[in-house]
Amino acid sequence: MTELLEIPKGIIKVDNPDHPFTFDGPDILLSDSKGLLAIFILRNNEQKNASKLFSRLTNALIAYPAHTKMLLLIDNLKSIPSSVIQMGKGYFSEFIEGKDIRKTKSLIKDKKSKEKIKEIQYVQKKIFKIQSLVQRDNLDYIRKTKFEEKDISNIYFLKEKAKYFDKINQKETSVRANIFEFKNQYFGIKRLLNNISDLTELQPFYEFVVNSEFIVDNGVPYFKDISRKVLNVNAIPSLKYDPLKPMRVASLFGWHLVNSNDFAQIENRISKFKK
Amino acid sequence: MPTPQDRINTMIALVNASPSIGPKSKKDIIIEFRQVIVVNSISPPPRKNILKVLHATRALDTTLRSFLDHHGILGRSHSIGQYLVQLTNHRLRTVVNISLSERTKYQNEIVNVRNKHLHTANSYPSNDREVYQLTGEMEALVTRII
Repeated sequence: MTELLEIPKGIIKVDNPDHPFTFDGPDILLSDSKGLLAIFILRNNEQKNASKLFSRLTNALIAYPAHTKMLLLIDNLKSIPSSVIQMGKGYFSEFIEGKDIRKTKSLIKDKKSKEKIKEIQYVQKKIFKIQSLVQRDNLDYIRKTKFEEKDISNIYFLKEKAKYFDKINQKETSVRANIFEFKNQYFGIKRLLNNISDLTELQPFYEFVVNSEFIVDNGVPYFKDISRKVLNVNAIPSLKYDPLKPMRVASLFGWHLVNSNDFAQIENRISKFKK
Repeated sequence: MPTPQDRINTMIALVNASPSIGPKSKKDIIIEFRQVIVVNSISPPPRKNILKVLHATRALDTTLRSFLDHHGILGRSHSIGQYLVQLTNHRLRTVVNISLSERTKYQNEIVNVRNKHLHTANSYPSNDREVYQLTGEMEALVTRII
């Protein structure tokens, strides 16, 4: 679909953008000297599970410049889940169709309000302060720890899966990934495999935080608190062309990395942040 | 998996759209970002790697300086370390600023590493991973202010 779009002259189009702070994001960027459009296209899996769409949009609202307009490109040949239509208005700046791309310049010209941009910048400042604190802690830990293959999942009292309120389906939901709640703290366990991107493997851990700790209201990604969580991994997560990215994004969502089969050591990574 | 070209294209789109960087600087920064990819074919690898660091540094340096200049808060700063101080200390409410913790992170992960290679004779990044780690953090910093 994207190759059929009629892009006006002077507009820079980027397919599959790769932002340093996103695990996933828009499908296309359209940029001119006056502003930026981030275009989302509903993917097949998002037709069944709309929360996937809202979590990558929330990540983009956190990471992209506050002035970026987030647009949902509707494909008339595909049905749109009612939850996307109902909730999408509070998340996206606009819904557009393929023919609207011809009017990119006027879409860019019609900017977000100054108040909204200021509000997003204020939220981003708070988030990135936390991100840098967690990333520095993770870098310190990685540099003095030899990560080893060990039985990281053998902690018998981590049984209760973490829950969050699914805003799309309006119900409390247990997370599918290995994220456990114990004494009001979250403990994640992930054995990273060699044949899958670490960023992809850690996506459920990022999405859990987006779903449980962020609320998007009128295009602003609000949060009360990004709680400190531990993520027990068998190896340092990495990505070939941006080695720190999986850890940078984990830090954005409050995950402190650990490599241990000793619960005292694991808990020690975040005990100082206990509420 | 995203390629280095995907990342550079993203950076170019972000810089191009920034309301805080003048047109001349935008053009120069975009040219520098493109060079990070162009030098990929150069050999031997140490020369390729030092050029990647050089072009990414120049893109970052001009982005930070143009941003501060645009908002009238450049002061007497003339290095990336000093630009980070200005970004942390300014008191303009409507302009993005970074926390002390962010400044420390970028000072450690960018400025100190980059200084080692660009100011020391016969010093080169030890491998591709070190280069990608450094340029990844530089790109992260650029996205924080544009």
